[in-house]
Amino acid sequence: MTEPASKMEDALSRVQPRWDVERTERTLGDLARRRRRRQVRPVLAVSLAACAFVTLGVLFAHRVRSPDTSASTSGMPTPPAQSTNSSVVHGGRLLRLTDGSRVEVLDSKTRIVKLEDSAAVVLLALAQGHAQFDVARRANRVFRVRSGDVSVEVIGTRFVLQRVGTRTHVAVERGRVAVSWPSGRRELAAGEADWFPPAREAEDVEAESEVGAADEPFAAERAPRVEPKTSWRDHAELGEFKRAYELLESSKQPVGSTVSELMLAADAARLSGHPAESVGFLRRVISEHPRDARAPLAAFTLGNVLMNQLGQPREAEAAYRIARQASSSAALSQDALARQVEAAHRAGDDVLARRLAERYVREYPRGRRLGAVRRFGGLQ
Amino acid sequence: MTSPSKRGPHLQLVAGDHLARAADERSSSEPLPLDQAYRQFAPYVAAIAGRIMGHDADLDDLVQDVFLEATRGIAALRDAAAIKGWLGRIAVRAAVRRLRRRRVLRALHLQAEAVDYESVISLDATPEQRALIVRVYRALEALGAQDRAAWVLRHVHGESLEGAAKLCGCSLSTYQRRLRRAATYLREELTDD
Repeated sequence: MTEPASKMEDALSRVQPRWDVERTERTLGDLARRRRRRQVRPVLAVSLAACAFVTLGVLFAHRVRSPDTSASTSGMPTPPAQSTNSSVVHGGRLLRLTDGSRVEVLDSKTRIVKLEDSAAVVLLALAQGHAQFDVARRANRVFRVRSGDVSVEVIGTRFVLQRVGTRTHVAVERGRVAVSWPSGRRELAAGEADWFPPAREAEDVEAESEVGAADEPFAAERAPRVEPKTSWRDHAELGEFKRAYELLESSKQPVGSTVSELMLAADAARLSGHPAESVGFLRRVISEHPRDARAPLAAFTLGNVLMNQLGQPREAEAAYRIARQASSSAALSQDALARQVEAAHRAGDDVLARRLAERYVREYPRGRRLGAVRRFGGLQ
Repeated sequence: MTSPSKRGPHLQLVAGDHLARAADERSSSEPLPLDQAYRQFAPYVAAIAGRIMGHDADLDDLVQDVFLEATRGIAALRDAAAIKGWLGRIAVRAAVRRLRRRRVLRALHLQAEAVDYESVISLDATPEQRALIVRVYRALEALGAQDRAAWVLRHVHGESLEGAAKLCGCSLSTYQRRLRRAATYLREELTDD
């Protein structure tokens, strides 16, 4: 047992360096002597500095005349190796995304997986650790970060996520974010912060938040133990999709029925080069969890897989329709409608494509994909 | 004997009220002479540095180092609160540097003296409190210097979160991260199995 906080505080209040008037006066005298000695040193220091400067100048001139062609251009560290269709960012790095957003990892154990990074959708996963997200304001782009069961969607803001076990602390520094978890959803404004899922809904009991407990002399509980990687889930959460899919497929480890698990399994399949195997998982999210906040994103992802990887535009159009109808995000709805137009056109249904294109033009007269919609919808 | 503040960074005037009056009467356009600043703020600097270091051995040098470093800047400051805050930041930096140097020397087996933690414990502390303080400071030895300084400023010096962050010269979120790391480590170290 540790000491009770009050007993500890009372003891610590007795730490008092002994410093009195006499000591002040004595050390003031020493200070004056040290200052006098310092006045003598500058002359010597200037002479030495001059010699050093001349020496460096000679060396530099020599180096300029004979450049080393094998030297790296910038001395920047080698970027981490990237897995297929995703990249993992380790602690100590700044990740810049195509839409201008930035992610700063805040400790050395942080791992962030980039699942999708396009002009329309940015999807990241916080596998472990602590990171700050500075999201560029882009009206027609979905920016979402998954942290276990918790999903944070933003429009243009800055926020910090810290994942501890099955819970995530979300702190908004600028703008607003929408935080969703299996049984709920909440918006946070600038200056607000909280743990998700809420304590009473957490699947695992976490005794007290680390942030709150930092104000006690000792943290409320130990940091969560990192379990050895044995399941496909562990590998998938760390961005090791190839290994995750191998385990999923070969050992037939069951996939649970939660949205998190199904989405993770879908990512493991499609990001390891097995898009067809991801379809089942994504369809289960839509059919088994139609009201979950992540269902529209699952439908959108399904549409992408069907259209771009499996060549099934008709089925893709249906998936995009579900994404558009179920989504509360204006950005996702707009993009889903645009993709519906393209899918209908590719499926040979020009009547549907035109009707959908007219709707897009009506609802989004300055939409980001207006040109493509007009083209696929035959409105040019 | 005028002792450093028990808790919190309250200024203790070491030479009596006349210095306080002199400070009040000094016009805002006049810089504070170094010796006057030293008499006024040395106890405060000693309190911060001594609590972070956990012992008294280097305290004289450390306090002087702070004022030597501050020599040029003090003349530019007019406000007592600004001077105090600034000296506090330099004190934290100087103590962190000393801690790092001590760690290196220890790693190279160049420092043989044991640290006397009792040298900074108040004479009115009970034996139980002394034992607890020594135990805490021994545990603090394994922490990084910045994390240690963060924890000491908050839980020994009694500083507010925002005030401690300013003394550490970092943002509040950075300061809270350091504090959290230190608190987590200390809990593990000081929990009896």
